[in-house]
Order: sequence, then C-alpha cells, then structure tokens
Amino acid sequence: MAAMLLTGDVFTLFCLNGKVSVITAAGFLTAAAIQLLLMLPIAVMLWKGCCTEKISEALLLAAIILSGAMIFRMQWDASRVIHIPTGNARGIVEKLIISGLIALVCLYISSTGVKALARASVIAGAVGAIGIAVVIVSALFRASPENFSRCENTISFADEVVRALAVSSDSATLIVLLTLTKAHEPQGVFRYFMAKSVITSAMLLTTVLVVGGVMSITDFPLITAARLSQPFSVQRIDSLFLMNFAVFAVFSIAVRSASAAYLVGKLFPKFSRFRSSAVLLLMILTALFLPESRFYALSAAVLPIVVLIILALKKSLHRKGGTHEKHC
Amino acid sequence: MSEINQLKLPLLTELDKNIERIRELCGGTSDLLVNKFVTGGIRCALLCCEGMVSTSSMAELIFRPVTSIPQQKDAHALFDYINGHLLLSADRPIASDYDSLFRLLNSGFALIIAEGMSVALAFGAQGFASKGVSEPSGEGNIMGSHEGFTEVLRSNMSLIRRRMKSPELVMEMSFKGSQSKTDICLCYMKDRVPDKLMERIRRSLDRIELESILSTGYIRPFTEDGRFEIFSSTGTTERPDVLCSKLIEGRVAILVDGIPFAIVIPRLFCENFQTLDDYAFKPYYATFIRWLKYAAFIISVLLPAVYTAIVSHHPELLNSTLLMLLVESEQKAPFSIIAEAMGVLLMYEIIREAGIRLPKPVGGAVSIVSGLIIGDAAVSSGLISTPLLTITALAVISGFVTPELNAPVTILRIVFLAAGGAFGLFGISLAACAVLANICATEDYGFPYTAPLSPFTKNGMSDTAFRTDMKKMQNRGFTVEEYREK
Repeated sequence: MAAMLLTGDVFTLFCLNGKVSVITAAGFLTAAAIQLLLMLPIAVMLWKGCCTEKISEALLLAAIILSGAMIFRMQWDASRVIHIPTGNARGIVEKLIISGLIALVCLYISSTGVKALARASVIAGAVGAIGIAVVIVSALFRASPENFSRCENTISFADEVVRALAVSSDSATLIVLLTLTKAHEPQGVFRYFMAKSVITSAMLLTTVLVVGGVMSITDFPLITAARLSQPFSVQRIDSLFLMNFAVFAVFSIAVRSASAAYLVGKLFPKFSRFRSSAVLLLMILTALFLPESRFYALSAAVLPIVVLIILALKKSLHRKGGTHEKHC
Repeated sequence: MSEINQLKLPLLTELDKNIERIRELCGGTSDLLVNKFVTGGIRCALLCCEGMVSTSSMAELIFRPVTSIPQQKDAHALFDYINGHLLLSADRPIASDYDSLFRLLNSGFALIIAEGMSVALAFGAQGFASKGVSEPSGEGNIMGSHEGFTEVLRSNMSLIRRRMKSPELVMEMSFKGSQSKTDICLCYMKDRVPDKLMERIRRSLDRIELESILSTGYIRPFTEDGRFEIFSSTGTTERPDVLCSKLIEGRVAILVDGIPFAIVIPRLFCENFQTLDDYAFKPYYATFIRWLKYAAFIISVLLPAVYTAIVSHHPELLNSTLLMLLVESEQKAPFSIIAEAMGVLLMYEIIREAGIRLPKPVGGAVSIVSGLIIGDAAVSSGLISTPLLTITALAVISGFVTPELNAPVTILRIVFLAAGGAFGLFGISLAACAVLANICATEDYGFPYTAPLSPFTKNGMSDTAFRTDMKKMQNRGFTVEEYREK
C-alpha cells in the first residue's frame, strides 16, 4: 500500500511548480503530520470494522477524480520542460497524446487487479528509489550550502502547508486502499507517512542545495535540480529522470483509477464494465475543463476530512443505539 | 453402436469371436500379432503389437512358462494359476474392456486372452525402439550430470527415482488424449506439497479433452490461468537433476510419454536465471553470474529500443564523439532507424528459424551465408549501419543466456523497439510499466510469479539476489509453499 501511494507523492514532487525553500520542506512535513493525524482515526475505525457509507464513498470518488485530474494537469505542465517525443503535435493535441498514452497503460494496469498493481508498485518504487538516490547523490556533488541563504522565503509557512495539502492530496486514495488491501493496521499508515516525510524532505532539501541560487528563474525546481546534477561529462541523468517521471506518472494515475473504479463498482453495481475507462476519461475531462485554481486541489484534500466526520458520527450513533458494526 | 461405446464393452468370452472383434476394432491393422495356442487344456491367444514388444523377453519370460502349465479345470483356474504361480513380468495389469486392451497393446504389453474369460492378462514386455539417455540438447551445464530425459516415460521415472530414493516421492500414473491415450505421470513429494495444490492440479488436468498429447504445449495451457501472460507460470526442464531439485522444493512435475521434457508447477520468474551450475561454483562467482544474467536479460530486451530511442529522439544524451560516429553511419542508411532495426531483428528471426528447421548438414551453411555474407554485404552496401548491426547482435547474444525466455524476449524486443522508435524513452517507460504489470499479475495456484521480489520475502533473497553458501542453505528447509499468498 505504501509503495502505491509513495509513487504518487514522488510524482507530485517532480511536478512541483513554484519556488522551493527550507520553509517548503517544513510545510510539507507539517502537511504530512496533519494528514497522519486525520488518517489514523479512519484507519483505526476501518480496522475495527467500520464500513464506508454510500455518501462517504461518493465523496471519496469525487476526491479521487479531482486528485487524478490534478495529476494529469501537473503532468501536462511539467511536459513543457521535459522533452516527451510526440512527433509534431503541439498544444492540446500534444496533451491528449501524452494523456492518452498514459491512460491506455493505466487502463491495462488497472485491469490486472489491485494485487498486481501493488506488486508492480513495489518493484517500480524500488527501481525509482534507486533512480532518485542516484540523482540525489549526483546532486550532492553540485550542492552548495550557500544556496540555503540565497533562496529567498517569499511564501509564508502557512501558505506552504496549504500548498503541500493541495499537492499531495491522496488521502482519499489512502482510505480506499485501506479497505481494498485489508492492510488497515494503523502501523502501516504510520510507516507510510514516515517514509513520505523522509523522501519529501530529502528531495526538497537537495533541490534547495542545488537550485537555490537560480530558484527565482526556474518553474520546476526539482526538474531543474535533476538537470543540473550531472556527475558525468555525458548527460545521462536526464534520461533517468524522464524514465522515472513516466513510471511514477503511470503508477500514480493507475492507483487512483483502480481506487476510483472500485468505488464506482460499489456505488453503481450495475456498471460492471468499462469502469476504469470511465474514471480515466472523467479525470482527463476534469483536468481539461476545470479552471486552474487551488480550490479544487484543496477540495480533494478536504473531502476525506468530511468522510472522517461521517464515519465518526455513524460510529457514535451506533454506539448510542447499542448496535454492533459488522465487519465489511 | 458407436465405436467409443464398443470399446467400453467387456471382452467376448468366445475366443475366436473375441479375436475377430479385436481385428475389427483395429481395422485389421497389420502390426497386430495374434498367436493361438493351448495351455492347461484351455484355448488361448497371445496378442502383441509388432515392434512394440521384446521378442527375447516374450520367448523366455512368457512363452516358455505359459506353455508348460498343467491341465486346469477352466479358464478362471488357468488365469488364477498364471497370476498366482508364474511371475511372468513385474507389470501385470488386467484389461477388462477393449479400450484398456488396446491401450495396453499399444503401450508394448503382451496380452493373453482365453476361451471363457472376459478379461485379458497383460504382461510388460516392452521392447520398442527408443533413444537412449543422452545429454540434453538445451540446458547445458559444466559441473553437473549430463543425463537428460528421454521419450520413454518409464525411463524418465527411473531417472528421477534413482536420484530421489525417498519414500515420499510419489508418482501417479494416468493417461490423457482420447485417441493417443498418452501416459502421464504426476510426480511430487507428498510431505512437501499440500493436498489442496494437488487437487487443483488434478482438476486442471481433468479439463483436458484433447484427442492427442504430442507436446508439453498441449498440457501447459490447461495448467495455467486463462488470462494473457507474457511469461509462462509453468516451466519445463530436460534434466532429471534439475527436476529433483524442484521436487525437493515442493513443486509438482508432469511427465508425458513421448516427450523428453517435464512440466514443473509452479515456476517463478527468478528461476529463469538459476541453473544447477550455480550451486557447483563458489557463492561469489555464482552471484556474479546471476547478476550477469539479469543484466543480459535487460540488454536483450531493451538495447535495440534504447538505441533507437536515443538516436531518434534523445541525441543530446550522447557525447559528441559517439554522436558524430552514429550520424556518419546512419546518414548512409536509406531507411529510418526504426525500419532498419525492425528489418534486422526480423531477418535474424528468419535465419534462426531456418537454422533450426534445416537438416544439420545444411544448417552450418545457412549460418555462413546469413551471418557472414548477408550481414557483411548489407553493411558494405550501406543498407544497414554497422552500429545497429552491432547493437542487434549484442541483444541477440544476450538473449542466449536465458534460452527458456527466448519466446517472450523476442516479442518484447520488437514491442519495445516500436515503443522506443515512436515515443522515445517515454514510450519505453510506458511499455515497461505495462509489461511489469503483466508479470506481476501472473499468478497460478496462489504463487505470485514475481516472488520473492514482490511480495518481498527476505529469506528468498538468499537464492535470488545472490547465492548463499550451501552450509547456510542446508537448514532452511525451504519449500515453494513459503511464497504462496495467503
């Protein structure tokens, strides 16, 4: 479960737009802590046999669609600086080709089932982690501690926390995976957030060390950091980064589409075929037509909180009524 | 009455009518030998298939004792005497209907029918021509045994039994194929394989309704999941020592008469990179060879695709010297890099297939003509570039390191080439994700194909990522059951 979620987290970091500083790293860590505090009670409730109601499933589905749409949009934005060969296509056609290819692969991966997705995520995550480690180690050769001070903190800590919550809004996917994978022991959730914090801090701090001096003129700091981290005379890290980018993009979307398809199946049992296709199409259309605004990203983060409230209310109502929750 | 129903009828008690019925059912085939004689005062006949029985065994072990039986009361008493007093052969089944009679006859048994009996006594006197035990054609090794399976099922059973003298080794015989009635043997260690797994495998085999079984490919699809799998979750081996090592680990083997390969269930992806020689060398060398094989597999699948992707879409990844070299070679080639690469790969496959199918004396000439003349001429004329030919050759040679994976590697090489040519490294990454998902979805009988890597099993790494010392492995008591997903 952790591998499936971490691929999404790393991908959103890759596509992080705007300035990055030490405050950003602190903001991301705080956001992870907030998410952990919110998710732990949900994990405990699910572990003790609480079920998700239709309303919470609908909210989770909306959150995942929004989250997936955000991933597509981030990927389109990042594609402006990463060279993805699409022939002579430009503009919206280029976006659709890239999204279409990723969607096709995600469709196939979703069709293999959650178990296969989880296993593949572990392997892809492990290989990706090696790639990231290579990039980080090579970045350290180019790192300069002076970049910490060169990097101006123009964004407040509160804004960084909000940005982090909006960017890494995979709480809804986490809740669905907790029910799907049956790995809903709270320790698993804790370990996931620990790993997320470590990876996020390492990547962001390395970025600041490498890119700090040119942060004001770079749109995608992590991508720029990878570009500047060339340990050898030939540019091999670019290709490693592109491959990591593609793999993480696929798995982050595949996890969301598999989770959303599961929810569609629960909400609309008669909708037995083309669930994954419908979900992916919804995500792409949402990404195409939704106005760019952090509001929608925040919604994706906030909706799981609403789910938590619904679950808590349901549990307290049942406790008052003297009934026992059946294990789902 | 249909022929199938007639075969299920018990034997006729009148000897002459019985012989007539037998001739009628087999269409008067010329290789059916019928020898009538009288023994113990009862009229009998000995049936056998010409060329299938050993005439010397028949003469010494069957004719002489059978024709010296004292007077008997009736046919029942005669058969009781033969069963109780004469040990004519170790293998003595009874044929109670025509179906089993023909199956035993065509398996090299000699059968005795008698006036007044509706069953036939069969005696194992096989003497058909068969290839002896020889070195396996594939799965070569340096330090281990050089014996391979043969086409005779019972010889193969003896090769296994000689190496595994444990009473836990069970061999279950049955037959499949409505026409061929091919003998099949399920081998397993009963203390290592759970009953549930055996039941599932037997149910899989019960689904076989083919007319004949002439190759492992006839059986394997029935033992695998129905979904599309790039890599097969069952394996084959030509070597009895390898099979024994699999049986010790709690796997099940299927031996098929007429095929010198055993099917092994289940098979994991990591096993494609393990050979018995790994356990003959020092651990450090065995580990080095294993990682070499992993690298060779990656090179074999990805090298042409990565080359095409870099040359077509990512030339900035090359240093200036290499870039100039490639530009100079590719400039002369009249076709696009992807068309060139596809052409070279397909030409190699044609030459490889021709080399296998041609008679051996001609096969050598094909290698010379194709490799030296065509390859050299194509490069000299500028039709293909030298770097591309070199890359393709490297990829092909790397594929020889894991011959069991030749089929999927060939196809994947072409798929990745198309993806890399069209969309560069991005396309290769997408294709890799899809292939990875397919490999991870491969699972039969509860054993994930990617075990012990995913789901990760720490103990499994001692024989996957590296090869631990034998002394440390001896107390592991490992069975493949550890990898089954609960």
